[in-house]
Amino acid sequence: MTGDEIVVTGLGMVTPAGVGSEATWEGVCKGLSAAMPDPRLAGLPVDFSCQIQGFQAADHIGGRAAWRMDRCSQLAVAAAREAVRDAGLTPAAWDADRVGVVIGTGIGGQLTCEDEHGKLLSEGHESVSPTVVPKIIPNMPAADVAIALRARGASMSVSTACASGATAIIRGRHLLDSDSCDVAIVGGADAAVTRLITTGFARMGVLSRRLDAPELASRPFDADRDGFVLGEGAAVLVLERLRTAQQRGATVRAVLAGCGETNDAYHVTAPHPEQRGAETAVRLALADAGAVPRQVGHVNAHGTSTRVNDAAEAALLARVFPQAPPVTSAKGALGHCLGASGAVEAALTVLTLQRQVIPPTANLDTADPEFELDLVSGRAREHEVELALSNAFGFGGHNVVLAFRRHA
Amino acid sequence: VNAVLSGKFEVPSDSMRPDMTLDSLGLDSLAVIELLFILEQETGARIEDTEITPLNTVSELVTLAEGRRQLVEETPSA
Repeated sequence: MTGDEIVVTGLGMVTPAGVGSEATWEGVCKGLSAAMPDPRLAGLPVDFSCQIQGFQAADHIGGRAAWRMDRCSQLAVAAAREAVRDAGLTPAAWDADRVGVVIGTGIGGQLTCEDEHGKLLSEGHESVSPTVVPKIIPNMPAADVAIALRARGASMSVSTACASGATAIIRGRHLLDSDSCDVAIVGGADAAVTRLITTGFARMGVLSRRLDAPELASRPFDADRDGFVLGEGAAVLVLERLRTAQQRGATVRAVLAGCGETNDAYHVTAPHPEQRGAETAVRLALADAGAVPRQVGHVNAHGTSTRVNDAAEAALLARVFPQAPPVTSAKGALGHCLGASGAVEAALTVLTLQRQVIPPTANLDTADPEFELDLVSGRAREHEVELALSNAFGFGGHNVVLAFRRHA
Repeated sequence: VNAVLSGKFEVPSDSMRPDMTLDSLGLDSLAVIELLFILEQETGARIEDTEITPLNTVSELVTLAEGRRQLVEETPSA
């Protein structure tokens, strides 16, 4: 263990609110939902989603590399390139053996999988592209980032469903703690707004059915919420030890102060009724940060907009944080970007600490009266925050909580 | 062939000459398999990946593809 503080020196995001970190931040701060009708989902029980507009893979990756990648990898590589550039790092110049990559994905190359499977069924095996396997296997977002950036250290994918992006951040921190690398490129990506995945979530009853007004469908913590909206995206953070960052004169955006991760070991999809696993993850993250609940000035919630998830998370936050720190959920604006969401929300939390501004929860018109929370809605709120949490929970009972501290 | 090379594989068309190998245009073995796959989809000319490798030239590929395409066109359709 090096014992050094781990800091965030770079951010990159590609989300339904925009291509790039600033576009995403501005979009989320406007408090408007990116949900809209999705022609690819025509005829399904839910035919809207949060899609990324105006993303041209060739602009970010180069066409020669882009054709080999599923959209999930393309988004990851675009976000990683932005994050590395933002950190002031140059892949051509860095000690490549000391750069690690951990990219979480909930699903992986699902668009390619469904397209090629469709061809296999309708036109036969000779119509299937020879690139299908390296496009759909779930390690590829990490591998494609490593290849694109010439990062030769440890690299891997992690998968904890909708917490994958946050889990990746913890694994990257461990690579730095154990001195396995000097730069950790970490984050999450998913591009699974497909007919099969949408149908699957719809069959589970977790998607909003607000077909007449998709832009109002994702409404975390609102009394009228009825499910989440499927989204897609990627976010990547560059992590370094504080000393390394200072030595090269990098701008520190925030400190990754503590991490907590648990499993409910209870149910495939339902949260534990007393939120035991999630509460332990919160307490572990705070203990790791050397902090107590009273010091938490903001929580960027998982807040999916489902009845059950938001109720469970609200109960947990009200119980652990009697001081009622301001709470927001980015999923009102972005929808649920699955394995990317933990990384997107971590990146937004970092920006909140840097700018002392908390984005609003889109579509939160009337907070559920059961919730004893200070929810940020309507417009972004200026607020003094020293310590903030980012929550991510995933199917399978995964609970991941990250504590970020403002860098003085 | 030129259209596929400059389109999907982003080989600048002014840098392409018939005597250049596919390898020198930046295509590796997987890219060549994908290229042959696209040619078959678009023209019906079937070429095995044992017949063309990254070390073959553009003109060798074009010759082979044209020969196969004639075969396809001469074959009476059922």
